[in-house]
Amino acid sequence: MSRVLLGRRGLLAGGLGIGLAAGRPARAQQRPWRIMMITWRGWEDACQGFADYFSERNVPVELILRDAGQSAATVTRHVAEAKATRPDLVYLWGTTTAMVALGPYDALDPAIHLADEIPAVFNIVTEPVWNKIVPSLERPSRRATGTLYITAMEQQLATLATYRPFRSMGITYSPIEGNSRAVVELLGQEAKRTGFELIDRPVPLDDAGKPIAAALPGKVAEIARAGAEWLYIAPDSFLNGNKLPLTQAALDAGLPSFTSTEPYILQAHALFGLVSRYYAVGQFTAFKAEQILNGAEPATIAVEPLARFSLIVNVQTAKRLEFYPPLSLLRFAETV
Amino acid sequence: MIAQGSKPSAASRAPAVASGRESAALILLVVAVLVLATLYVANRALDAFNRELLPLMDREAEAVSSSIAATIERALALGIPADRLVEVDPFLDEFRRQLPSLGYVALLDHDGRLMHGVGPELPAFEAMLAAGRVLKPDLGLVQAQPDPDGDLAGRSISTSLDGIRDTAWPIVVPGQEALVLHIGSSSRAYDAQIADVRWDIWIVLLVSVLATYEILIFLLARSAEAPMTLLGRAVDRVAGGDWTRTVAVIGSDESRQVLRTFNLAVRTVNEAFARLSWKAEEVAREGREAAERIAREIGALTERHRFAPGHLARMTALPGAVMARTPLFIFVFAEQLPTSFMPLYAGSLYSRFSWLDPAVAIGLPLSAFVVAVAVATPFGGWWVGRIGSRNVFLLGALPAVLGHVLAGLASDLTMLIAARVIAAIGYALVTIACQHHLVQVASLGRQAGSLAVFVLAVVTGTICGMAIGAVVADRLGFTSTFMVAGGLVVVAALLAGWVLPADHDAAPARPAANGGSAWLMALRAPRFLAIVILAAIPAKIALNGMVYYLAPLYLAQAEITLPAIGRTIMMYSIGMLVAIRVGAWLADRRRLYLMPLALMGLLPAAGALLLPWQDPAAGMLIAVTALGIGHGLGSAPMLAAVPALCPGPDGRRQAALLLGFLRSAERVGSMLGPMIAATLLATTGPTGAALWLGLIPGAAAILLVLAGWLLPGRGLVPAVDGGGR
Repeated sequence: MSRVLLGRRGLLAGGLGIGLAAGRPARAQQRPWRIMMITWRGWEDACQGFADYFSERNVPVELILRDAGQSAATVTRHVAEAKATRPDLVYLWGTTTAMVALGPYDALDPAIHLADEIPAVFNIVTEPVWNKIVPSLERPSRRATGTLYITAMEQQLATLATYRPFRSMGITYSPIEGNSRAVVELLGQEAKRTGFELIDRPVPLDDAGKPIAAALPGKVAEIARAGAEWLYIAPDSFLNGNKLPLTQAALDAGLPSFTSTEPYILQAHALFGLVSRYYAVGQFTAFKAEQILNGAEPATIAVEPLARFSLIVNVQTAKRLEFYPPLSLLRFAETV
Repeated sequence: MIAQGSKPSAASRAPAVASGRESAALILLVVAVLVLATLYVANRALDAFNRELLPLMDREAEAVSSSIAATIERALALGIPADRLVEVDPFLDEFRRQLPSLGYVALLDHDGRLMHGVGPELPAFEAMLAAGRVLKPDLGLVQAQPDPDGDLAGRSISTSLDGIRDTAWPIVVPGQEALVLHIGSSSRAYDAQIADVRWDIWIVLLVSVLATYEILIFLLARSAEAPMTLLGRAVDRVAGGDWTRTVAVIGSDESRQVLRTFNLAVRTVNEAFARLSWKAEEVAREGREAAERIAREIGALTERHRFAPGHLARMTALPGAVMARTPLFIFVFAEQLPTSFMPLYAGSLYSRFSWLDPAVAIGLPLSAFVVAVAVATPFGGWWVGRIGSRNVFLLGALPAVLGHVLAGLASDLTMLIAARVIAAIGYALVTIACQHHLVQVASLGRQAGSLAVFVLAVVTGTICGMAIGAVVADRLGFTSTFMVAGGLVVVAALLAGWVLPADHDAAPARPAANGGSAWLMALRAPRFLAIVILAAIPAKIALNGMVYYLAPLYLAQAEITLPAIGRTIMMYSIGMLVAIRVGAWLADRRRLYLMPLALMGLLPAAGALLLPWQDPAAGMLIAVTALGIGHGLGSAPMLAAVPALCPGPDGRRQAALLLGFLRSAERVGSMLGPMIAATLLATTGPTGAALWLGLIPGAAAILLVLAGWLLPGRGLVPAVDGGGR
C-alpha cells in the first residue's frame, strides 16, 4: 500500500515538474548561468533583446559585458579572458567579432580562437558561411551557432522592385570588411542573373589602411552621376559609423536608398528597408543560447533567420525625394 | 371449377397488363407530385436568394471600400499628396480581382472628376458620371464628423444604376481635400451565381425523378408485379388442372392477402379431394358396383386434375430482371459520382512523376481503370458460373468500396491509380454479375428485353451520378464525394443481397472464348474490321479522351464551376439516351447501318469544329452533346451490323465471337482515349486537343464511308439476299 502511495507521490511530483517546465524556466537554476557578451561597438537593441529574453523567462543569468571598441585585437584579448574564466557561454555580436573570436572553421588556431572550448552564439552576422564562421547553416558542425538578420539577396531585391522596378544600382562600402565584400559579391551575382547594372564604388583607404569617411559623400554623388536608380547600403560597420553623412549624401544627390539593416532607416535617412528588428533577433539568439545552456549541442542547432521581416518606409525621406511608395506597399509597410 | 379449355396465357396476361398500366399511372403521379413540389420549393428559395442579394452586395461593397479607403487615407495622412499617389490602378485592380462581382473601382477627386479607375464597367460609370447620374456623398457632413471611423455604415451611399449597384465612399483626411471612392457591384456575377443555383436545382430534380422512377419500379415489382405474376403462373397451373402447389406469400399486404386466399382455396380443394377419397373408400366397401362407379368418377376427376393432399409443393417467384436493375442503378450511380472531377483530382495529386508529362500522368487513373475492367471481366464471368450472380455482386462490392475509400484518401497519384484499379475490379465483378443475372432471366423466357434493362440502368445511373457527383464535390469536396460513393456501393450491395436469388443457377454456357478463331474470323471479314477500326475504336477514343479526360480539364481551365462541368459531361449520356432509339429504329426497320455509323463519327467532328468559335462552356457542351447523339445513333446499328454480316447456319456462333472481339477492341479504344488526349493536350493545348479528338472519329467515318462504297457488294452490310460476303 505504502509503495502505491509512494508511486502516486512520485507521479504527482513528475507532473508538477512538467508543469513547471512548461510555464517557467526549464531548470531551477541555483547558480546563474554565466554568459560573456563580446560586442563590437557597445550595447544596442540586439543585446537588449538577448538580455530581456532571460529576464522575461526568469532564467537567472550573469552577463559579463566586454566591448571590443571596433578593434579585432581587443576581441582576441576578450577571448583569452573567456578561456581563462570559463563562462558557460560566449555571446558574439557582429561579423568581425564572430570571425575573430571563432576563427575560420578550416584553419583554427587553438591559441587565439575559442576553438570549441566554450560554446558560443553569434548574432548580427552577415553571410556566416561565406565568412567561414560555419561550414553550413543547417549543421554548424562546431560548438557555435547563431542567427541571421538579413534576408536572402534575391528576396531583398524582389522587395526593392515592389517599391520601384530598377535597372541600375549603386553601392559604396569599406573594402576591408569581409561582410561588405560578401554582399558586393552576392549583389554582383544577382546583377548578372537578373540583368541590372551594378555601380560599385568602394571607399578609398588612407595610409593606415582605414577607409576615409570624408570621401563618402563624393562616392555617393559619383554613384548618382553614373545613373544609379537606387543606393544599396551594405551591412558594414564603417558605414554604420557614418550612417548620417552617408544617407544625407544620398538625399542631397536625390538618390533613394535601400537597406537590409535597421539603423540606417531608424536612425538615419535611408528610404526603404527590409529588415529584421535587432531586438527580435537578439531574443531569437537568446532562445538558441538557452537551448545550449540546457544541454543541446550547438553543432546541431541550425543558424536561422527570423520567420518575419519588417518592411519599413521612411516617409520623411520619401517626401524630400518626392519618391513615394506605391499604395500596395503601404498596405503592409511600417512607416517611420 | 375453371374450364379446362381456357387459355392460360391470356388469363395470366390480363392482370399483368392492367397492373402495368396502373404502375405507369402511379409512377407518373408520383413523379408529377415530386416535380411540382421541388419546383415550388426551388422557386421560393430563389426568391429568398434574390431578396437577400441587394443587402449582401452592399455589405460586400462596403467591406471592400473600407479596406481600399484605409490604405489611401493612410497615404494621405502620411503627407503624400492625392495627385502624387503611386500605382493606384494596380492597387485598385488587386481588390477588383479578389471580388469578381466588382464591375469597376474608381477614385474621384473633391470636384467629382475621375482620377483613377479600373474594371470592365468603367466606361459605363464614366458615362453615368458625365450624365450627372452618380450620387455624391455630402463631403461637408462627413468632414464635420469628429471621428470618421466611428460609424462606417453611415459613411457610404449606395445607388442602383443600370444593372450596377454603385457604392460611394468618402475618403477624408484632416487638412486635405476629400476624395470619393466609387465601387460598382455588377449584378452579372450574381446572375451567374443564380443561374448556377438554378442549374443545381434542375440537376437535383432530374436525379430525384430518375431515382424515384427506379425505386418505384423496384417497389412495384417487388410488392405488386412479382406476386401478381406468381399468382398468374399459379392460376395457369390450376387452369391446367394442377392443384399440387401453393404459392410463396410475397409482396405487400394486399398481394399477400390475395396469395393467402389462393393458397386457402388450393388447400380447401385438396382437403375436399382428400375427404372425397376417404368417402369413396367408404362407399367402395358397400359393394362392387358402387366401388367401380366411384373409381370411374374419381379416375375421370384425376385425369383432368392433379391433387396432392398432405404434401402440397410451393411455387416461388422467378427472379425478375428488375431485381438486378435497382442495385445496378445504385452501383453505377456511385461509380459515376467522381467522373466529372477525376482528371482534376488526379491533377491535384500530381507530383514527382517528373519522367512523365503531367497531362499524361493525370490520364493514367482513367486508363488503368479501363485496363483493370478488361482484365477482371473474364475472371468475373468464370466466377459467376461457379458461385452465382448474387455472391459475385456481394464480393465485387468489397473492392469497389475499398477503391472509393482509398481514392478519397489518396495522398499521391500512384495511390489514386491503385485505388482506381481496385475499384475497377469491383466494377467488373458487379456488372458481370448483373449481366449474368439478366441473361439468366432472359433464358427463362421471362423478359426478352432484359438486356435493355441493363443498359437503361447503366445509362440512368451514369446521368445521375455524373451530374450529382459534381454538385456534391462542389459542396463537400472530392474526398467526401468518394466516401458518398463508397456508402452507395454498400447500399447497392445490401439491396442485391436482399433481392437477388441466393441459389446459384449455373450460368448459361457462353460461346467458347476462342480468341484465336475470333481473330482469324475478324481478319477474314473486311467489313467487320472496317467497323472495328473506323467506328468502334475511334468512338471509344473520343468518349474516353474527350468526355472523361479532356472536358473536365478544359472547362476547369476556363474557370467553369464543378457543377457546370458535371452538367456538361452528363449531356453525353442524355444525348445518347435520346438518340439510341433512333439508331435502333434505323438499323432494325430501315436496315441502315452505314449512315448512322458515319454520323457516329461525323457529329463529334462537327461539334469539335464549332468549339473554337464559341465560349468554352457552350462550345464544350455542344461538342459533348454531339458526341453523345452520335454514339447513340451508332451504337445499336453497330451491334446489329455484326449478326447481319454473319448469315448462314453458323451465323449465331460467328456473330457471338465477333461481338466479343468488338468489345475487346472497344476496350483498347477506351484505354487509348485518355492517353491520346493527354498527348494532344501536352503538344497542342486544350483547344487543339479537343479539335483533334473530334477529327479522329470524323476522319475515320469518312474512311468508313469510302470503305462501304469500295468494298465489293453495295453498302457496309450487303442485303442478305444480295449474295453473302
